[in-house]
Amino acid sequence: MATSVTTDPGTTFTSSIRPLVYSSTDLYDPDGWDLVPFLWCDELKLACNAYSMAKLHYEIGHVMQPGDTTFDVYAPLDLRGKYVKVLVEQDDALADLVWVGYVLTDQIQRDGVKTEAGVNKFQGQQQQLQAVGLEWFLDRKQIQSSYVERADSFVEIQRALVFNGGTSDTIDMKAAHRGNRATSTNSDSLYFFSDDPTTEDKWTAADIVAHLLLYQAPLDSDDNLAPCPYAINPDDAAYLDGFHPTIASERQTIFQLLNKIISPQRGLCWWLEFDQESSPPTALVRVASQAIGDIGLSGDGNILPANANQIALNFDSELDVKSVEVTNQGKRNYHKVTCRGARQTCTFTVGIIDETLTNDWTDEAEQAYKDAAKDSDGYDALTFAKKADRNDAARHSDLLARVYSYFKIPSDWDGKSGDGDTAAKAYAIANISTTGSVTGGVPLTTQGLRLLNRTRLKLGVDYTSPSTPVDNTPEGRLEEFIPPFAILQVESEPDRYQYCDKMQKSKFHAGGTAVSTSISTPYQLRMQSHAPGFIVNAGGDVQHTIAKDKFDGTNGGVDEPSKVKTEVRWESLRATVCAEADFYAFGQSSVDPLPAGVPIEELVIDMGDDYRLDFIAANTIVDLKDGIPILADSAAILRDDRETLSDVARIAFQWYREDRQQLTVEFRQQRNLFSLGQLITTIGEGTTQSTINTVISVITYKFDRSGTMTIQTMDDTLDARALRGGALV
Amino acid sequence: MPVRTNTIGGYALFDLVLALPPLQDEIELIPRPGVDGMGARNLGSRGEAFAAMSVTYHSTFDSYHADLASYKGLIGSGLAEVVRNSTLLGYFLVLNVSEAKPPQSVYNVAGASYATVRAELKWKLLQMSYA
Repeated sequence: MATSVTTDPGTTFTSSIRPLVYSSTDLYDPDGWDLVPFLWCDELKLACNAYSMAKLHYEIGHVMQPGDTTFDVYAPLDLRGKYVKVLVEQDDALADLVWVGYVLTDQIQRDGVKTEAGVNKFQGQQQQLQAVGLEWFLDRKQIQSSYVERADSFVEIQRALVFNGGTSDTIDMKAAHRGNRATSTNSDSLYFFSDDPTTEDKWTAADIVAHLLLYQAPLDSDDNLAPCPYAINPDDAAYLDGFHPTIASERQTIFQLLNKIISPQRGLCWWLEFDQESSPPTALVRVASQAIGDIGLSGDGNILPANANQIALNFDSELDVKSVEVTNQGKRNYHKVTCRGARQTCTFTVGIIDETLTNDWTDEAEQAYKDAAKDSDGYDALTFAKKADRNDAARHSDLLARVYSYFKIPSDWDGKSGDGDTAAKAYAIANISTTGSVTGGVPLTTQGLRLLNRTRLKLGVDYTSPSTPVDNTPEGRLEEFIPPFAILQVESEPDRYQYCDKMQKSKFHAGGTAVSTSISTPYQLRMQSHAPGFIVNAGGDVQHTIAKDKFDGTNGGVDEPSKVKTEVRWESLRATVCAEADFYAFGQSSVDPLPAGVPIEELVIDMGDDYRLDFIAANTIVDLKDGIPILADSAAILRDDRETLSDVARIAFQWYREDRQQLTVEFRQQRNLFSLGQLITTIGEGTTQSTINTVISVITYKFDRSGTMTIQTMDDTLDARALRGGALV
Repeated sequence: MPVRTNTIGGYALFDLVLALPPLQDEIELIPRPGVDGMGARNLGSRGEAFAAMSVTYHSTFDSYHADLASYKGLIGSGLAEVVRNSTLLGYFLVLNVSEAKPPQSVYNVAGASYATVRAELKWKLLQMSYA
C-alpha cells in the first residue's frame, strides 16, 4: 500500500541549502573526516545501477571566500585519490543527506601567474573536482578465480566458474545438474562452489551477491577489504531469494555482475549506501523491486516481492515544483502473452516395411549403378574379373552416390510411426497434453522436417518404459545424448538385427538362417541436410552390399559384374531418429474471456532453446538385446518445460497489465523527501491522478543559485525470460 | 558647526556622497503556472555594488597621486570601514577607485596658486557587514 507524500514545505519561503564537504584518507576511521572549508558541491547525482557522482569546485588564488571577511591566498587542494563526504543538512538531523565518494578527477583552470614576495602565485583559478561513488571500486577488479569447497576447507582455482552453470555450457540437461553450489554454508555463513557435478543445490541471486561481495571484493596490499567492506543490506536480501540466475563471471567485475543480477530487466534495481554507523563502516548494496504486488515466479513458492517503499505523490498545488514530465511508454496491456521455447522434438522409429521410410534415389540412377561401366571403351573385351574391377570403380561416382544409400521419410507421411515393422503406429509428431497423453497429431510439412544429429535419448538409460526411465550412469557422471541409429536384419526365423555400424559382429546363432553367409560391411549413418532423411554409407566400399535381392553382380547375374557380394537387404532397414516438429513448446496466459469485437493483442516472448518439450513415440526402438529390437512400451514425455513457460507467461502478463509511465519532476527545494528505489504509484489526486508505477532511479541535486532537486523514474525494460533466472544477453 | 568625518578604509575624505543600498536578504520569486499565488526562496543576505563620490584635498599633485595609490590599495585587501558624516556605516569591499574628473588646483581669492589639489573620485563599494 503506498503512503501519500506531499512536498509542501509548509511555508511560502524556503531557504537554499549549501552542503558541507569533508575529506578523509581512510574509510575505516569514522572520526577521520575533516571539514574542507570553502569546497563547494555544485551537483550531486545519485543513481541506480550506475555510478553516483558529485561535482565540486574550489576557488584558488587571491580570494575572499563567500562568507569570509579577508582576502587570502588559497592553494589548490590535494584531494585526488581521497574520499569526500557531502553532507546536506536538513531540519531533522536524522534526515540529513550523506553521500560518500572517491575523488577521481581534478581539473584546474590556470589563469596568469603573479610573483608575490618572490613566490609565483596563480591568480583567479578555479579547481574542479569530480568524485564518484564507492561503486567505482567494484568495477576495478575483474574476477579471475573461484572458491571451490574441498573437504572442510576450500581451494581457489584460477578459473571463474559459472554460477548455476553446472558442468555444461548450456542447461540442456535436467535442472539438477545446473546447480553448482555447495550444500552447506562455510564459516562466513556463505557458500562456495561445489565440486559435485550431480549436486541439486542452486545459487540464489542473494547467495551469489553475498559471495561476490566478500570473496571477490577489492583488497589492499595486506589482503584487507579496501576501501571498505561491502555487503548486501540484510533487509533487502529477500528480493534476491526467489530466483537462481545463471551467471558467467569470467573477466567480469562485481559492478557488471550486480547489473546483470539485480537488473531492471529482472524487475530489480540496486544502489550503494555508506553506513558509517556500523563497525567497520560498510558500503551496503541496497535492492528494490519494481513490482507493485508480489509476483509468483514458479510453482514452488518463489516470488518477486513487491516494492516495500511505495509512495503516492500529490504536488499539483505546490509552488516548489518547477517542472513535471510524464512519458507514457505506449500501450502495453496485451490480451495474451505467449512464451515460446524450442521447437518440440519427437524421437521415433521409421522403417521401409511400415512405409514410414522409403528409398531416396531414382530408378534411372539405380539402373545406371547396375550398368556401371558397361558402355565404356573396351569393356566388352575385358574378362569378368576386369569388368568387375572397372564396374566397382565406376560405382563410386558421385552421380551414383544416392543409390542404395539415401533414405527419407515419404512426402505424404501422416506423422505416425511404430517400430518400422509391423507394430501399431501412433502419432509421432503429436499434440501432447500436460499429462503426457497424445491428443492427436500436429500439422506438419514433411519436407520441412529435419532429422537432428542427436536424439533426446541418453546413453546408459533404459527407456523400455520411457515414462519411468532407469538410469545406469555411474554416480557422479553425466549422461550424453545418443545419435540416431539404424538396424538391419542379419538372421531370419527367428529374426535378428544388428546396428548398422556393428555389422562385423552379426552372428547370433539363434537357430534361424543368416541373411548371408558373410556379413562384414559396417555402415555409417548421418542425417541429410536438405531433406527429412538419412544416409547409410558403406564406409568406402561399394554400396550394393546392402542391396541383397536387388542387385546381382555375380558371374551370370543380371547386373554388370562386381567382386563385392551383397550381404543384407535395405528393405529391412529400421532407424530411430529425432525430428523437430513445426510446433514450439509454449506457455500462455491471457484475459479470460478474450474480448469480442477488438483485435487481440498478443505478446510473444522467445525464451530460447533452453526450454524444451521432448517426446518419444510408442513402439520406438530404444535398444537391441541379443539382436531383438527393444521397443518403448508407451509414448512418453522425456522433458517438459511448459510449466516454466506458463509461469513466465503469467508473470509477463501480470506485469504488462499494469500501466507504467516514466516520471521526471524538478523541485525548487532539496529536502530529503525521496530515495532511490522508491516506487511512485500515482501522482495527483481525483480527476487529475495519473498512474506511474515506476521506481526512482536517479536523484540529482543542484546546489547552484536556485538549488533544485530532480527525481527521475526508470523505463520499463522487463525481460520476462530473465525474471526467472535466465541469462541476460 | 561640528566637523563631521568621512572615511573609507581609514582614509579621510573631505566629503563623501553615497546612496547606500543596505545589506539585505535576496528573495527569488517562485511562480508555478496554473497555481495561484507566489512562492519565494531566500537566497541569503548580501549587499549590492553601488557608486559613491568623494572629494579630497591634497597639498600637491604628487601627494594626490600617492594618496590615490593608497586608495587603490584598498581593493583586494580586505574589508574597509566606511564612515559617513561621523557615522560608521559598516564594512565594505572596495571594488574600484577612479577619477570622476581630472584633479584641479585650488586658487586663493587673489588668484595666486594655492598649493592644494582638489580631487573628485568615484568609488565602487559593496557592503559586506553592518557596523
